[in-house]
Amino acid sequence: MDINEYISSGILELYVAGALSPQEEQDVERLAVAHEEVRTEIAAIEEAFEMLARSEAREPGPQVRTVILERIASMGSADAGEEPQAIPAFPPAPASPDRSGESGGATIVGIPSRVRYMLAASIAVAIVSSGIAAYFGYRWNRAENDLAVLTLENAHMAQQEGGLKARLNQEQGYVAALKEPGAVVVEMKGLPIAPGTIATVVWNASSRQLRLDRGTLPAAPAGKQYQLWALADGRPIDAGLVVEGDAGLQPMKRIERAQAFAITLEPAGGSPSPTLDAMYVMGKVGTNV
Amino acid sequence: MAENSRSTDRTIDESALVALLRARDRSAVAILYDRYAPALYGVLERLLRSHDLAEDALQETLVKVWGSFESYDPAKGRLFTWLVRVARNIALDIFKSRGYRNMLKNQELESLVDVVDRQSSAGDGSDRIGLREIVLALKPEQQEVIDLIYFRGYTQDEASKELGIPLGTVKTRVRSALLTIRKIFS
Repeated sequence: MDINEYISSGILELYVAGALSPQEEQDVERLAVAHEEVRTEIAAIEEAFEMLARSEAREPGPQVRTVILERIASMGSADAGEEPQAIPAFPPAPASPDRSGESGGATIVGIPSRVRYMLAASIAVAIVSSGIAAYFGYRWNRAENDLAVLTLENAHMAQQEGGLKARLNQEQGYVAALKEPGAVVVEMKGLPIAPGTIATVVWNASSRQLRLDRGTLPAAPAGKQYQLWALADGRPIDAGLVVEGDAGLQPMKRIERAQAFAITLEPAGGSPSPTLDAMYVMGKVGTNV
Repeated sequence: MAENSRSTDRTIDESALVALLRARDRSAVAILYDRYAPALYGVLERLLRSHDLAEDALQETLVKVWGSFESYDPAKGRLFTWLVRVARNIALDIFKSRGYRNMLKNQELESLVDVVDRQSSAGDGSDRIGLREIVLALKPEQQEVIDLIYFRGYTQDEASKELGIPLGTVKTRVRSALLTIRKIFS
């Protein structure tokens, strides 16, 4: 299959919307694991959808926040997940579910005649007042639009600022780690199963501190996790599991001796010894300082 | 309300928030609320067409999110995408309930004036895609399909039937609409 054709087919947009069948959804997820371009595209669609939804954000009543926080505070951690799922006040209808409710005014049939009279009266009032309302509604809409544009721009800038701050923190962590006396940088290069991949450790033999930048290591597939190993005198020593996502310089286990470092893909939770044919990157201490 | 917690939410990024929620840190719920509740509420209100029900559904959504957060897998997508899925499922449950249909009838009596007003003032048919840029940038048929798929929880088959267009057309319309939206936000 041509992956670019797949990407431009529109299926990823439907995936993000949750509009695919479970089978199609699994297909997308499998391809996302295998193809970086698919992951990048999904991320861009998700971001656009979030921005779109934020442009239509509305404030719920002020009491809602308190109610929710109190309700969650009163839930025990142990019984998490056992909360009833549906709204108890509304038992599910036995008949086949339909969407007739969505079509607004279609459900007025079957109303008692006294009510129908009131209905007629209120329609008369409504028609008279709607001319005035239309005018104010127009002005209200314009103001709301202006506000929405500004809110959106604001959210966008805040997001950018957050991203820059996170980046700066990462860089500062890097510089601090490199400044420590005795710190060495070991660049681990991609092995045949992951050509071009680069990950880096900063290791300090005197303080034994070890930190990892996962670099261009691809996201671990579901159920798997990367594990860092220190190789000392031909023996692998577990140096800790690699956190997914852009975690910056992540602290790993303390390592006293090492001639090389390597990362393997292991079942989630890690392994006692490395799976050698799933070794992604390796680098020797002292060859690229 | 709660100005102080609103200011803290800028300082932590999405992955940090996810880590806090994973660690069952209740303080993260306030951050989650402040950051996502308005957008989720917007989606829910659009789906359920009722302030009260949307607020109920928002409550159920966040309780569900807190209770089953371990089922969120960041490798599969952004937090917001997952939150919307949870919210939409809860809204669809409410939809299917008999109470919802009764409520709609009652509400129609109570707020008829309101409804008539909205119909006469919002006669341009733009519904609530409030953002001027998007309204200007998207063709009506693109708006329609985005509304059904992204905000009303239609599957691609349902959207295809509702709009009377083939599945392939649903796909290409969603794609072209999203590309336009991405251009606006980039």
